[in-house]
Amino acid sequence: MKGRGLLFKKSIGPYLYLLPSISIFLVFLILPIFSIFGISFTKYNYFKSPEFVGIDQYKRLIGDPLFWKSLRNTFLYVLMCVPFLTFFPLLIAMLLNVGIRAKSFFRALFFIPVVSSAIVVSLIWKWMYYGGKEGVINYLLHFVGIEPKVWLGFPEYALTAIAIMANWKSVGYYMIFYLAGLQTIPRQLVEAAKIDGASGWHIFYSITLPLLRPIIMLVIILVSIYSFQVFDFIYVLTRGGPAWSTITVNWLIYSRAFTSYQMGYASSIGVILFIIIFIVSMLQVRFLGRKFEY
Amino acid sequence: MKRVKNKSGGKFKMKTNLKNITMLLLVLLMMFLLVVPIISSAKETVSMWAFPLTEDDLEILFKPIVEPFEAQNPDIDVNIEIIPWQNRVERMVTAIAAGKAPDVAYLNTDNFVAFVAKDALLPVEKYMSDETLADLKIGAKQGFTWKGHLYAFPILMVYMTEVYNKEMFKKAGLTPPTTWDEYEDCATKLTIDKNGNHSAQVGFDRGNVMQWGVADGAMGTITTCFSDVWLFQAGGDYFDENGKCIFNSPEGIEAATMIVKMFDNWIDPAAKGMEPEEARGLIIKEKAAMMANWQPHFYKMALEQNPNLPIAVGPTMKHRKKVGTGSVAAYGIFSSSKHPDLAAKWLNWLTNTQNMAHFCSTSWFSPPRLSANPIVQENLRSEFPSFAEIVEQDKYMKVVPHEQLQTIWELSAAEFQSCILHKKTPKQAMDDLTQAVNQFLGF
Repeated sequence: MKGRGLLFKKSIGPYLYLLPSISIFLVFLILPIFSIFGISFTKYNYFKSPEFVGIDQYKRLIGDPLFWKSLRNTFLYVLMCVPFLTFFPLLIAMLLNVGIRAKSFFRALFFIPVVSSAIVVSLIWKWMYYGGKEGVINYLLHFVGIEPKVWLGFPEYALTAIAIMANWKSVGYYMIFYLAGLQTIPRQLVEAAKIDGASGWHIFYSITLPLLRPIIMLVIILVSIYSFQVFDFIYVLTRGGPAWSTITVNWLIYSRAFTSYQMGYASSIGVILFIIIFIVSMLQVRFLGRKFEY
Repeated sequence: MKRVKNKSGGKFKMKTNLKNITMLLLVLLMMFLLVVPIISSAKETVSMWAFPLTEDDLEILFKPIVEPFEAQNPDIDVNIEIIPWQNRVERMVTAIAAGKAPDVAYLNTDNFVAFVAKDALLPVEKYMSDETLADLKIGAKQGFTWKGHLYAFPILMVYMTEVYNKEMFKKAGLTPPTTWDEYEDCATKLTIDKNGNHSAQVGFDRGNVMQWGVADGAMGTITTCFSDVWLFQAGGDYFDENGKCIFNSPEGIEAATMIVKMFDNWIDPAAKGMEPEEARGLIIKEKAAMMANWQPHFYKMALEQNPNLPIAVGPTMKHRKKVGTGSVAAYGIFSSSKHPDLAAKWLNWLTNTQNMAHFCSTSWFSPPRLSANPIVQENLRSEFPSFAEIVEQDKYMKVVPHEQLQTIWELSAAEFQSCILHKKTPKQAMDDLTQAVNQFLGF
């Protein structure tokens, strides 16, 4: 009997330790996600009980030009972030992986933007993007003959300006992933390749890149997910302007939920965003996730 | 049977006694802790959310008002929480949804109707005397009246005026404009390049402007900051009598055309990337001569940064109508309040003539009460004599409450930006705006 009790304690114990974390995960993540699905089929303004309206919110979404505009902008933003944040951090990581002086200093330097508050970074870049001759960016570009631009005031530049800032902030984060991945590459493979006369480029293309494939896939998926959800930079810098050129799906969700008090409609947009991110992530795993073995 | 005496009987008895005494003390302590809150909660608490208007609202604004009230009403506790401005409406909405709303909260014209539409606010005219209602300015009542009911106790009016730089006007030999034609004339002559040529003179160098005639910003989503005053002065309005949006009326298109003209000719191009609040800096740095829609407390902020700034309040202009715009702030009673009568008693005290005058004089706003006007004007005469003109002009204020005002502003900001940037003509922008608003409102 005692032995059985001990076995019971051994099997239930770990779950009891996990219970607090799982509870938080369920209450603050899983439950809200399922709630959003439910609320998207209702008309709900916080103060009164949700009123079931079937797929009316989704029909409205299809006919809403602002939704399609926000979707287009979001995809554009993702396209501006994913390639850059996939390869530039890799380049930096490779440079920092060789035996240079003050390696730790440079690693810390690249990581400082990552740990800085998004709001603070946005405010500083807003000041740098000031559209007059005195703006930092305009002042520097003036030395290469480029006329001052109102970076955040014109639809042609605003979204790109935000993407540049976001990429600058995130480089260090993905650099860490690649640095960790580079540490796992067996030195013997590289040395053997060198002995066989392989050039640096051959080593990178034939050994480093294939072995980093899982990391690259992870980075692509993470960058995509975070980029699809961009909000804080838009909120501080442009509020979706000028002329809706920086409105993103997440901004539209926020606007409809907290400015228009239309939680049902905002939830339907949220569901669509969830589905898009899910499909894109699955496609990325499917096409990038082929195993590689030597 | 012989009883076996416990050898340590004495010590055991003492230990038991100590244990019993300790238990008794603990029980008494617990009872005390339970009873004291019950006794002290015999005092009713009126909870209020306010948002910072000075560097220390509790001390500067509210203490001189709360202490006498609590002294006269010993059974009422007033508990004021100063909440940050950022996301204040979301905080209130969340609190109401969670059942944790305060009794009273600070509201503005642009957000109170949303609460009314959700039955979250109580109408308050039954709590006000006829004298009080008669003493309120028309704009103040208009700002918080919806479908015939007044929904809050007005505490201040944000009447937006034209600010102008006296020195720049004096140097150019001009007086502050009172009509759109005069405004154009002033803006033209006050936009000056580094050679001293103004914008209508031959040789004017637009690439080297040292002083701009007008300051404003095209970004942001609060269109009261730049479009409403032009719309109203042109004789236009947001809605017709059926509640349908009419931004694309001839008056609306005329207003949009005027705004485009301003940005094309007399405003720093960098302002296309600025919010109006940032554009204020051009007035403070004396790089622009005038700016519309200057809120009363902006004068205080500007003079704190530059005490010698030669700014003054300009007159309300007239095109087809002599009208200005702004907002009203008031304290409303949430319908979830457990003691609305006490909340109303507190608010009647807070918004009486003397307290309102103290509130508005300290925070540099126009009072909603006519009887408070002379007190506020006198209080601020030494600090900013021109303030008296704001108080005189707020009778021209027009506001348009609506349930979806914030969303309408968002939609209109985007369309105004489109025509300022010449992506659309003013007519196209106003047509698209009208369609978007009416579609959103379900017409």
